[in-house]
Order: sequence, then C-alpha cells, then structure tokens
Amino acid sequence: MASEQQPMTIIKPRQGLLPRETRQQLMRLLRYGLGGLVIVAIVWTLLNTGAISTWYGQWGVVLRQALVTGVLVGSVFGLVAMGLTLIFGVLHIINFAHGALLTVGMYITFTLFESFNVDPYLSVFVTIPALFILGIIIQRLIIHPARNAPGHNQLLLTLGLALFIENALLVGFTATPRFIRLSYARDEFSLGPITLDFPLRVFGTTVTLEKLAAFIFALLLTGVLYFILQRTDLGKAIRATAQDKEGAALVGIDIDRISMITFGIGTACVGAAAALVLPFLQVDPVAGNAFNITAFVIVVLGGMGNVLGALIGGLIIGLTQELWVVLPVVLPFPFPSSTKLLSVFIVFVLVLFFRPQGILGKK
Amino acid sequence: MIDLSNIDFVATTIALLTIFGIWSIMAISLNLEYGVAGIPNFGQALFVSLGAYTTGVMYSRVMPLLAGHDALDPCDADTLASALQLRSDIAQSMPVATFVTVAIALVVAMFISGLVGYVMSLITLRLKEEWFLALVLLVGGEIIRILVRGYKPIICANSGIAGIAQPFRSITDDTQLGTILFMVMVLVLALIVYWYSERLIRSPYGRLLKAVRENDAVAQSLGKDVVRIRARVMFIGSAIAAVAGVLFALNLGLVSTNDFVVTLTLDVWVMVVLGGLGNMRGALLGAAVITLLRRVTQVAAIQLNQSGVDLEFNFVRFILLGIILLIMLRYRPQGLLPESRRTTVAHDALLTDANK
Repeated sequence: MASEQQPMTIIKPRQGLLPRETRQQLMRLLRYGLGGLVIVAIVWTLLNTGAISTWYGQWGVVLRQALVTGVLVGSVFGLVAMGLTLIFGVLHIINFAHGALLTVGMYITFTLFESFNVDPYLSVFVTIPALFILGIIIQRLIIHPARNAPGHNQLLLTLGLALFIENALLVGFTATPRFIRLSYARDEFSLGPITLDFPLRVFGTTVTLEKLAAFIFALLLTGVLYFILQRTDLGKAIRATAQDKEGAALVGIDIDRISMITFGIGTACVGAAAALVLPFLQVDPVAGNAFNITAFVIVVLGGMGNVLGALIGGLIIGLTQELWVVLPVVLPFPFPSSTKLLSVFIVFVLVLFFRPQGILGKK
Repeated sequence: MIDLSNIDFVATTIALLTIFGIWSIMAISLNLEYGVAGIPNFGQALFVSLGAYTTGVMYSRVMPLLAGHDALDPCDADTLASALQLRSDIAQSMPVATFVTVAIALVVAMFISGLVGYVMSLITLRLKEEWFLALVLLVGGEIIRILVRGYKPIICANSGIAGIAQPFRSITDDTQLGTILFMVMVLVLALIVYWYSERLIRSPYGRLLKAVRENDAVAQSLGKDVVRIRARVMFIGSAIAAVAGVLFALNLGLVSTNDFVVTLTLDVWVMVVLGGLGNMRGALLGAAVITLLRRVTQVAAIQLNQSGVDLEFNFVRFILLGIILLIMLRYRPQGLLPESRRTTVAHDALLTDANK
C-alpha cells in the first residue's frame, strides 16, 4: 500500500497582484486615505469662506512650500528608516550605529567629490556597495559573535560602535563641517519638449534641484528595495526569516547568510541616503545623530519591522517638521517658535500614548 | 615619562571617591532594573539628566526665594552675572536655604524621574517587545537633551547654569573640609541606596522581580500583573538615578546638557556588565573600575598632550570600553561577581522535608 504513489497535485494559492499582507496594508492606507480626503474636502470648503480665505490667500504659499519640502525631505528619512526597520525585523537588534554609518557614507561622498570630482549622484554607485560591504563586515565581526548572547549585549555593541565611528571620524576629518555644492544646481535642463529651469517654481513654491533629485532617487531606491523584498527569492527568504526564524531554518533557509545580507542591505540604505542628502546638508562627525533620532521615531511611528510603514512614517515626519517651522508665522494667534525636533518629540509621545504599535503595526 | 609629582593625592582621592559614589548609585539603579528585573533601561542619561536639570532649576529659581531675595532671571545677559553672584553668596553663607534647596531638589527630582520612568515603561512594556522600551528611553533621553538645549527657561539653553556650589561650603570656609563632607554625604547616600537595593532583592517583591525576569509567562500564569511589577521597579530605579543626577550637578558645580549624552548610558552599562548582573557588589566593583579607567585615561591624555602626542582622550577610552565589553561577553558573560543563589527559609524547610 505504501508503494502506491499518488501523483502529487500542487494546489497553488491564489496569487493576487500583490501579497496578501501588502494588500491588507494598502486597504488600511486606503481607509486612512479616504478619511484624509474627507478632511481635505472640509478644509477646502473652509478655505473658500470669508476670513479663512483671506488668511489662506496671505499664507497659502508658505504652507504649500512647507508641504512640498516636507514630502521631498521625508522620502529620504523614509529611506534611512527602512534600513533600520529591516535590520530590526530580521536580526531583532536596534542598530544604534545607523546614524554613524550615515555619516561615514556622507564622508565617502564628500571625499569622492573633493579628491576625484565625482558627482554626488554618481557616487551612489560607490556608497551603496561600500556601505553594504561595511555592513556585512560589522555583522560578521561584531553582531554575529554575540547572536546567542542576551539582547542587551548586541545593543551595547552597536552603541559602542557608533561612538567608535564618531571618534574615529573626529580624528580623521576633525570637527569642521564640510559641504559640497553642485555647480549645475541653477541650470536649465531640456528634456525633449520640456525645459526645466532650476530652481523649479510649482504653484508658487520653490523646488530645488538637490531636493527633487533626492526625492526621485529615494523613491526609486525604495521601489527597488520593495521589489527585492516582495518578488525575489532573496526577498522571500528575508521576509520568511523576519516572520519566523526557526521556521525559515527548517525549510532550508540559511539564517546566518540572510542575517548578514539583511544587515548589509540596511546599511546600504543609509549609504544611498548619505549621497542624496549631502548636496543640501553639511557633514561633521556627529551629523548622523539627528538622523538617528528621527529614524528611530519613524520606525516607532511606522511599526517596528514594517518597511512600508517606515516610508509613510518618513513622509509624515518630514511634513510635520516643515509645517512646525512655519506655524509661528502663519497662525493668526501667537505660537512659540521652536526647533524641528520638538515636533518629532510630540509625534513620538502621541504615537506612544495612542498607537504604540505604530500606524501600520499589528497589536 | 608620566610625571606624577604634581598630583595632589589627597584631593585626587577625595575627588575619585566622590565620583565613585555617584557612579555607583547609577550602576546600582541600572542593576536593579536590568540585573534583577530584566528591564533594559537605556535611558540612564535621561533619568540622571532629569535630576541635574531639577537641581539647576532649584538653585537658580527657588534658592534665592528661600533666602529672601527676588529671583533674578538667570539667563538674561543683564542679570546673569548678579544672579550667579547671588547664588554663590547664598550657597556660601546661608546653610538653611542651601540644605533646604538640596533636599527639595532631591525629592522633586526623584518624583519627576520616577514618574517619567513609570509612565514610559507602563506604556511600552505592554507591547511584549521589551527592546522597544530600550529604544524609547534612549531616544527620549536624547530628544529631551536637545529640547532643553534649545529652550531657555529651564537651564538657560546652551549656556547651562553655573554656580551650583556644594552645600557644605555654606557651613565651613575650609574648601577641603567642604569637599570631604560632600564626599561623605555622597558615600552615605550610596550606602543607603546599596542597603535599600539589597533589602529589595531579598524581599518577596525582589523574588517576584527575578521570577518575572526568568519567565514572565509563568509569573503571569500565577496571576501576577507583570507590566505593573516592572513599571514599579522602573519608578524606583529612575528615582535612584535622579539622586545620582542631583549629586552629579552638585559635584560639578554646573548643569549643562553636554554631560548627558549617550556616552553616560554606555558607561553605566559597561559597569554593570563588567561587575555582574544582579549582584549589587558587582555594580560597585564595576563602578570603581570604570571610574579609575576614566581618570587614568584622562590623566594619561593630558600628560601625553603635554609631551606633544596628539591623541584624542575619548577615542582611547571608547576603544578600551569596547575591548572590555567584547572580552567580558566572550569569556565571562555573567560578570566578575556573578549573581549569587539566594534561598529563603521556606525553601530550606522544603529541602529538609524532602530529604527526610
């Protein structure tokens, strides 16, 4: 009876265009989106009534400018946070050296520009592999040996690593802030029939070349990362490891290799972000710290380990920061002006109190 | 060659013992939270800084009122110098106002810090993932530091508050005697904290904490409210850390946001990991070793710089801390003084019954 072999029939699960998890997340987004649309409609009606209309006529440009800048910068925040959340999802460690690695990437970009005159957007092709390899080395040398130790050790090691990198950069590059400026940031570009004259003017707002390029590249890289995670075997292995380490090992996934590659991909994300932000920021050995904190808040906001959440969280934080800065100017009543970080802090506290699992996280 | 002839050994010993006392309070607080209760508190810098900021506020706002003066604005450029002068005058001539200020600072700092620790852990520990709490506290500490640095009314933003004289200067003119008395006060407080934490470990609550650390599912199945138990120990630990913060500010004579960076958290963690998790004597040993290491690297860096070698002091220290961590992790993860097995009377009785 045992020799009789039935021909195996493989029941294929119904595969939609997107995996089920993503579909659910998108549905949730759609719900939020519809809610958002209702709010926009209400705001729109309000804007067309007397006093508010005059107010909007006066300050509309400032608000629109804040919205545009917020989205542009937020995409880069999202990219940094995605790397962090990916590492957390698979390795279950909080990588405190993330910001320091961003600084390393910025210094690579700066050195390439200063010494070899490499365009920062081309240096992405150097910083991504460089930080990928650096990430793999760090994972092999520091994180991997401590994988079976209690969790605090790995956290301490990344914290120590961050301080080590900061101090090494301080010795190597001194504390002087460095920056690079693009020679073509104010040029005209003709793409077929369209001529782009930078800085662009869109609805009365100014869009600089640096921020637009950062936005486009960041979205592109986010798309690539998402494609890798959802559509390739490597991505499936990564997601499987994140969901259930032992289960993944049982079906033949090399957990150690996946952990190593995931850490590399996570640090490669900051490598890309570093090259994208340097044209409009400056770099000193502790430049990554501000990004570190913002990225952690974004990860909490998006739900720890949730890649799509990190992107959306990045956009939300970008918008919040920019709007916060213009609030004292545009509000008709007195409002104290303060640092951008206060708005990040407020978002952080609100998320902790009302949705500690993050906007896309499951309870 | 390192020249030791110009080091005043008495003053150095007093300074070292004072610093050791302050750091050991921090180490005990973390050992209570992580070593005994298993809560990864990466917010040491946050809770210590809360204590220090409270001291700054008390010295600049409350002390002049207690002494019967109007509180001058300590940050405004016009009144800054006279406010500083007033603070120093009171702290050197009016013992009652000074000691009452210090006492108020201690109580208020403990309460604020404890409350922050309690609320933060109550919210985050509900989410099972306890590393989330580590992240929240570390990020929270850094954000609060940056906010205080940018917001004048607390400790004058970037410039900080100077002129926080040690309280014993008000009863003696002898500077050395003042520092010795302050050292005694710090060590007595450290001793009280040590005694209290030892008692806490031995109490039923301490055993409950260890049970939660080892297996929270079992503790929960026995009807214990795990989240609340942990949040409560966070209240105690954070309050103790705030005491260290007050003493830190008094010892330095200055409150500045620059002192409460992530480095402080790392130092305290290395102390506890080095000394031994769950063992209070281990925490003291770790504090002693790291205090000495700090001082030795500091002196060595100064001496090296004087003899023309350009070396970053912090850089050397972090390499050493990293090496200590790696070695301890690899060869002695339980620390130099591992946690001892503690038995209860009931446990012993049970054993003798079983052996009969």
